[in-house]
Amino acid sequence: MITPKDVVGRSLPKIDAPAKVTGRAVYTADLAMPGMLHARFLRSPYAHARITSIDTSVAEAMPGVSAILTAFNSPGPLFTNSKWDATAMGRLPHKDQHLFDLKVRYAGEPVAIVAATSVAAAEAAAEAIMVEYEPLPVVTDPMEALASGAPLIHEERESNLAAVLPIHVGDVEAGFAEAEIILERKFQTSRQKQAQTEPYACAAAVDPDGLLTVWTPNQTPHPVRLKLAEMFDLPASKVRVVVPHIGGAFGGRGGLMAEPWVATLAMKTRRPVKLVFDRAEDFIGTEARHPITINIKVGARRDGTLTALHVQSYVNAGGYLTVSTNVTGVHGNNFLRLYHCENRWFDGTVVYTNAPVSGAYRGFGAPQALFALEQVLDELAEEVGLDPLELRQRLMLKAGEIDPWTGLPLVSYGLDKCIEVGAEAFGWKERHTRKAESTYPWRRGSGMALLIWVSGTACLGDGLMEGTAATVRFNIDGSVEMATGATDLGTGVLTTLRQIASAELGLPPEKIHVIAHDTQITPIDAGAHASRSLFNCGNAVRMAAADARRQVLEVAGGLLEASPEDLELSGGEVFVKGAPGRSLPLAHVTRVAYKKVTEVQGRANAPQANAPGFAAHFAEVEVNVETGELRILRYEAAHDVGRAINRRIVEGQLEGGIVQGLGYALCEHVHVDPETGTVQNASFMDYKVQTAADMPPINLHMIEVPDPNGPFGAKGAGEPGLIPVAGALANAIADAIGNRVRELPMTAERVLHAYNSIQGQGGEV
Amino acid sequence: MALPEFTYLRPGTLDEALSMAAAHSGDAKFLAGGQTLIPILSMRLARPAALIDLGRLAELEYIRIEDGELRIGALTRHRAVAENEEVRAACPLLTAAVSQIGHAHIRNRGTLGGSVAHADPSAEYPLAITVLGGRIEMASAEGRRSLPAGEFFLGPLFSALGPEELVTGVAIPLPDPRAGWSFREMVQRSGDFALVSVAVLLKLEDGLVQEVAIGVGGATSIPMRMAAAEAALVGRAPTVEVIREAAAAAAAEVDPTDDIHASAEYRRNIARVMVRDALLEAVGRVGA
Repeated sequence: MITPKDVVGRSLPKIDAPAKVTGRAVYTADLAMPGMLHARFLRSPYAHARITSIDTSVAEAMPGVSAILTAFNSPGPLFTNSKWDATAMGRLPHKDQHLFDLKVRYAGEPVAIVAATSVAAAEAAAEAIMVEYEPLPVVTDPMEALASGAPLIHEERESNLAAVLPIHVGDVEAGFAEAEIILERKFQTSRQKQAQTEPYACAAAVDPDGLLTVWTPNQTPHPVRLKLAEMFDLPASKVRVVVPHIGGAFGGRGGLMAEPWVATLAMKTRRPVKLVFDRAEDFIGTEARHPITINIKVGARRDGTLTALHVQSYVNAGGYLTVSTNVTGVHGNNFLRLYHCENRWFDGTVVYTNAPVSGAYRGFGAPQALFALEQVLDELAEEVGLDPLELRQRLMLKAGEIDPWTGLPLVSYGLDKCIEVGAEAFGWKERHTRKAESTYPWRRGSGMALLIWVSGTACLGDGLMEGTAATVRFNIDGSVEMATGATDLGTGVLTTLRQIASAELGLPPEKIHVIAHDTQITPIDAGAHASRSLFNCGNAVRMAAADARRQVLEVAGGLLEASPEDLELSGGEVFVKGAPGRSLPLAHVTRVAYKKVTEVQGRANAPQANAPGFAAHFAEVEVNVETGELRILRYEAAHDVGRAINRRIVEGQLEGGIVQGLGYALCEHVHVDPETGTVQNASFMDYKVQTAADMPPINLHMIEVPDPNGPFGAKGAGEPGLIPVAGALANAIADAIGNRVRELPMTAERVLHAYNSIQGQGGEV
Repeated sequence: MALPEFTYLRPGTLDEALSMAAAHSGDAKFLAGGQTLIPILSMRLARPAALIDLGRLAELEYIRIEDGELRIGALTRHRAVAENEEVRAACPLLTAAVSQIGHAHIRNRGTLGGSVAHADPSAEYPLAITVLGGRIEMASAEGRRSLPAGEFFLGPLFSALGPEELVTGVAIPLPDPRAGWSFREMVQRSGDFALVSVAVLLKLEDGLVQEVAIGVGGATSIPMRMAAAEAALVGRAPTVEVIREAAAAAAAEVDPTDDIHASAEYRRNIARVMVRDALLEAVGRVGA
């Protein structure tokens, strides 16, 4: 007998682990096809320039060169890199880019692409293309880009203002009039790169009956298919997107970074074409987390009650809009959501600049918000003389209350438990006494941050389409195939989905074959984003499995002369409950079913429901007040994940998120030269991703408060680990040194500067 | 990017390697561990016509202690030096320096010759050899020569090494076994290039500083001895006050520049703290 108990909650090995550890997993860069050409972009060295001429004659005459595309022969249609216009309705990002234009708007923008018989030939030809540029003034800072007289980046627009996202509730003026304390602070966040191990890559081929197949490590294959179909004026049925193994995505692989260019080459040459980015290209030619300038003002009463919350954020979109408006919406709502305040005002001003393009990255605007909000709350706590945790407990949403973002009640709620368990493990109450354990030049401090998150955005109900489906099919021999639209970017979601099907069907997981990563044979899905895959696709899989089981039991009921309700399917047998002797092998039932009707195939669409995950993070640090160096002594992270279906996978997700959060907080930043707009650290040598040796002890606490709408109670866990880290660490640093670092990343130099800025601190050592 | 095209040469002897370099009139690069050269090629920062792979030159792979000197061949891997017990006993400063080079993978492949020839001002070997008073041995088809470290390193990634010349090894005078020493780095993450590195070798006589060498890397264009800081110590008892004075002198002597990783001001500040700490550590290690 196999019951959900045997499968749900078990740390079963990942489906893709054997392929990866034996080196047999095929990534996009590994693909080889007969007659395949290799592509190479020529990218602009200028961040802002007009192209006056492109001479490809020398390059075209070079050996092995098949095709060269530029603005003069392949401008392509107007499009947006954002996937949202494919699967959403209502508030859409506007289209603002072409495959190639006679103007470049960021350093690294594609100017030409070459297809040739070898990588070396393509690189040599790309270098031989002669482009004449007329450089234009460069602006990389959003405030400067908004100033009058700033160079206009998209000349069809009136200014560099790309969009404004307002969220206005109540009357903030009245709220501030009522306030006894007003705090006004400014924060600056950084440009963090996803830094996936696998550089981006793409291959494309057109078969003789016109089917365009694109291979890409993209986390949103179905939206990519729809977008390519639109761009090339093809029915979606004539575009197939296949996703090989993905070597990291983290949100940054949801748009079009190579696909339409490579597809155009494949259509033009009638040969398969493959493009593999080099590491520097990955830094300059794919999206990074938005740098945001945040002006936040809070009004409160002496008891800590918030009377008004006012946030003005300037969001640096870079040269093109992509998902900037969506990120800005999420960013704004993360200020206005968890803590009660009647008068809330957010304006997200999205600005075009000549910086590289910003986009989606795990957390999608929320890490920036929490870095500012959680620090201001600590400052308020100090002003009103409350423990920072107690202030938050007074202000935060409680179980059953309406979530102001979604308008839906919090039907599952583990935040109080997260706080209780996290604070206890951390020793929050004893943190002041531990300060004395440090000796000069080390100073100790503790800080915390809270999080409310989402399991997908279907709950928002503002036109985002998050439907998904699954099919579960019994073959004639009783073997099972499960098809899902989910994309596994290393998250382990396919392993977890198989566990869900296994629990529902009473079959061992290894008996279920998973079909995924190919739009031609998988159900339509919005893609891996917003911590939604397990929640949405998991519900679909569970329902599809239940549907398939119901059909099997119906057929078996006839054979066993029993009502289907009295039957059970488990371990490959159908039997009558309470009468184990009366049973049939599953293969027999499926064979009869095929004779009588057809194959058994369950289908389901996922419900659109809200299931926010919660977290409480606690950090204790020691700061060297002579150098600014930081040691993290303890990090306790308590997460409400609803239900951990595969415990080790959930731990991996949370821990991996925290690790990226540490990098965001302390050292990661893509440096863009303000004069030229060029990236100054487009390598793993100069872009500082922390290594395993740099990791502090991280203790995870899994809080399981099942959500009634989640599959077996599960909620999303992909993003929450990352989001509160910078806020929690910033608070710990402030507690240690007596001053705040309001700019990310909080490097040793910035920490030291903050310490030395306090009168009487620093100086002679 | 893919490596640019080059002719690959694999000599069996040193003489053969040197005549190959001469035949290419300076347009060839010697390949040893490849830990710097290969990234430079793939980033297209250099496009030599030929690579001369030194892999077969076993004659350049040695660690010897003879005639009061520690001699290390250019092809000796960092790991071999870091794990050599005789080196540890005779010259612990060098062991400490080499153990801090990059990550284990880099130490497994990288060589002394490559590190010295690259002349990175924040690299460990150049600083350690400078403070230990070592000489760099070189050879070309024209003959052999050697230079003290102070005359070899001329600027960032710039040395006295000629275009057809090869670093063959170093000769380091064995420090007095009673000398105190320190080698410290500040890095942004483990295994990284040092923002600032400091090496100290110090001898006391009757409680007074008899000899001291203080070198700073990362905050200067070459690994540099801090003359004023050294002068502030010699002949005096190394009290905390005196050491602070020397550290302040070193901070005035360094000449850091701003870059994306740290400002010049921060590096100067760190140099002061690190010279102070290195001196305190070295004094604490002085033997009887």
